[in-house]
Amino acid sequence: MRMRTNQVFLLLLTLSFFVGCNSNNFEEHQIGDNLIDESSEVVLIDSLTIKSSTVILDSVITSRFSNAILGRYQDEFLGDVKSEYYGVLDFKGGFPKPVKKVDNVSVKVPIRFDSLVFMAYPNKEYFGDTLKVQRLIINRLTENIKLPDNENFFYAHSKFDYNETPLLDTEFFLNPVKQSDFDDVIDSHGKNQEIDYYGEYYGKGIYIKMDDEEAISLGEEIVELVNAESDTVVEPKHWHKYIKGLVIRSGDNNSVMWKVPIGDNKVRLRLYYSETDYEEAGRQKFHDFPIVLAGTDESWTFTNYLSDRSSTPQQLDKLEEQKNDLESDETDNLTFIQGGVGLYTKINIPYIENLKTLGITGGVLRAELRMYPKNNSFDDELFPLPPAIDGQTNLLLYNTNEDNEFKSTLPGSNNTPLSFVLMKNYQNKNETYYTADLTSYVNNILVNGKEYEDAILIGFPLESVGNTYDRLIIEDDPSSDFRIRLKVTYVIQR
Amino acid sequence: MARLMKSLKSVGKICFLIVIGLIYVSSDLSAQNNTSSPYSYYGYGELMTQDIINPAGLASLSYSDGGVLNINNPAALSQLDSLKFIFQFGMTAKFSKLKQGNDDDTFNDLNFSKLAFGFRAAPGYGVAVSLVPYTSLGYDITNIEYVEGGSDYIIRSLKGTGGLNQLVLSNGFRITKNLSLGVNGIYIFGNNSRDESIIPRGGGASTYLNSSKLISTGLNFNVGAQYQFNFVDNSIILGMKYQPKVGVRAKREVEVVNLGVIKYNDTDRGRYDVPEVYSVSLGMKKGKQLWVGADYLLEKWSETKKFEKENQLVDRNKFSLATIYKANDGYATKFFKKLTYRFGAFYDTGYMRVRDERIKTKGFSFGVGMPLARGKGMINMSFEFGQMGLTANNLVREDYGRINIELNLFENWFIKRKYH
Repeated sequence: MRMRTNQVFLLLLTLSFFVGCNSNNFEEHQIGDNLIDESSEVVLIDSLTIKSSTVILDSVITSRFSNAILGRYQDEFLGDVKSEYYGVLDFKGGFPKPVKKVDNVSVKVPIRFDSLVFMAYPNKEYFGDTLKVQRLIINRLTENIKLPDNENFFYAHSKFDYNETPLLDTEFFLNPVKQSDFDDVIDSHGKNQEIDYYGEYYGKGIYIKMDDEEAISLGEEIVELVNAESDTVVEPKHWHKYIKGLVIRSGDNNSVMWKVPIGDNKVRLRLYYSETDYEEAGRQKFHDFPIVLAGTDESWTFTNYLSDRSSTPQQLDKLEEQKNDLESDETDNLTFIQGGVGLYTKINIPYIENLKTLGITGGVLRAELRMYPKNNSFDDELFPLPPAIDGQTNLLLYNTNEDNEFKSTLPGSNNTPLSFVLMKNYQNKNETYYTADLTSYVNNILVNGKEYEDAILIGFPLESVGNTYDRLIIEDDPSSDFRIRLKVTYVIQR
Repeated sequence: MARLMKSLKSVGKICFLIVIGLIYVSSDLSAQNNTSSPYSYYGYGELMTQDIINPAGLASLSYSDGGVLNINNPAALSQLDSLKFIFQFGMTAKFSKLKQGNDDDTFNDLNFSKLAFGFRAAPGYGVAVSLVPYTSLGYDITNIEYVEGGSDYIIRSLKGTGGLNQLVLSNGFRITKNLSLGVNGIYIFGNNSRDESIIPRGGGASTYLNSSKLISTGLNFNVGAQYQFNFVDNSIILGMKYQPKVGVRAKREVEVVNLGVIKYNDTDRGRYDVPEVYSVSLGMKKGKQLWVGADYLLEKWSETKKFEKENQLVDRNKFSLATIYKANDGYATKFFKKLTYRFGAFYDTGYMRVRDERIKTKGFSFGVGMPLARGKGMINMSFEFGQMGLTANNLVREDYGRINIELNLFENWFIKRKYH
């Protein structure tokens, strides 16, 4: 009998297992959905007021970037932007007087100056029109680049004096793709046995002989210092004090801004010389003086940006101080973002908290900020949209206050800052837009209330805005579909 | 001493069964639902009628048997055999197909249906304690909705879980040779949970969850009577039951959570009514083997309120018929001759009106009772086929089959075994 009771329990257990396993737990069932009252309604709200304006940074950090930005561009909306690049010139380990072994005795050989050459290998990035001839001016500084007391950076407005008479003032054509082609062997006139060009330069990079008197006398001066076995060409401290630095400028009619990598000696002056005696006498030799990120005594390489907005259609010369932003209704319902100069778009969404008046309570499912670039303000050739990798841009969002100071970045996923995503519409170019997920931002305001510091600045990362020439013109016409919009998918609890 | 050991063993068994029962009642496993019907959204959930043998409804008010715990009419307990201690444990598996328009969907549900024990405490006085589900919520509906004006979709799921349970203390007294009276003291407890969650389709961790719970702990009772007119071999039994309308204490909690933050919560205390119930039954017994009966039940749900608001429910009428035939005349040797056969049918108007339609249930069942060896108990199995609701008016019809297995164990008390 006991057996039979146990069997019954076993039967019950088996049945429960069988039915339990068969149950369609994880499927989605829809039948009967019309019979059950939904207690909430989901709506899309995109009519929240957004106030937009443009802010100019008082100080854009431009020192010690591994790319030099050179040149100038003229922009239909933003006016002229010109870079003056202050470079620290290194002597690459020093330039001592050559030593020869003659009959087992070391002899120092005097050298003779031949010529000075400017060389650069751009990277492939540029902004503007490369078809026009570009002017390149190099002046020698007359004071040492030195970080002012209590400062940690050089800025877009930092300046140092330079000699009015240039070392180089020439014209050339920029061909960034071709000129970026760097070959170690060709660059050094063939140290390799197989190739042995001792004469002309065969490389594809920019190579401009400096024929101005100023340059020739600098070259001769350096050679004299070498022959005199001066500390100046051996001791870094003395060298930097002597050479001070260069400023690389562009002409007022230049049409392109371009980038040159600095870290690996891709911009330099090359001094050609020859020895005056012994077996190598008369043979062409050279010493390179590269532009580097930093010299001694806090002398750092940086860029000065000159921006002339006086003849812009929206009179952007009204932008003067960071704390006074320029509202979009004063600029034809446009706002601006620009690297280098440091323009940011500011938005303020004052009435997010009004969502709380809907229903007995509610919640955000999704909040998306959208902004459209102004139609015809960009193209694929000369004035492209800021770069986006798989749609991901480096346009960030910062909390800001009434004085338009930068607070923290809005957080995105995985502890990275939130950034805009470009949604490119190839068929219909003017429907291309940028989007950012503001769900947690909106939720935060709903939970904690709105503070002024919930205003947002949109633009390039503060740490690298001084090293970009990208720009973006944003449409914000309140009466248009192409306005800056916050689209909130909101649940209203009834 | 042996008797003490025996009763200790019985107590052990009771504890064991109670533990199993509580595990089932409190189980959150979604397989352990009593129902998957969208109609369980309405009222207090789907009503889990408890009748003898078959959970969904055989006539029973006028039935009594010395070996059956007829909780439905506590008066019947007065007829319990002496010397018997009955344990009962029942489980139900439901296989249902929901149909709406051109769509259908199938569900399997399983749960315990009854846990009880009872015995004759004194001559003409039977006592039983039982734990049974009273109502059940089990709807689980997921919908993809388009958000007006946007390009986004959301996924909304509506889910009901839990239900009300009854812990019943039943007492049946024989007043005269023909009249028995009984009373069920009922402790209602449970948690009716209704969750509505919304998530954006295609990712996004942002969710919106509205959960509301009705947590109840309350008492009510009902009384029953049986009167037996005896003839030569046969008898006619009249059964009756009455339950007054009682407000059960409850707490209602509503909480809204969005993006991990509680946006709203509200706790409300109040009462909800269990309805006034009238029920009558007429039964006929022919000899010791055949019983035929018919019940009528009226539950006045239309007068009930929940937290001082009308429940929007309608009165429930239920008609049921049953016949029970004990094939064993006392001398049976063949297996089929030892079984008890049961047939029944019912028609239940339910207590809800949805889209102007009553959601009725009708069905029939048959079952067998198999005695365990040496009179140690009985296994009752039943098979029920029924239909709830209708497809007209874009409503849902549920066609279901239900298997109920109930284990009855008899512990013979007060008998000293002479041989081992």
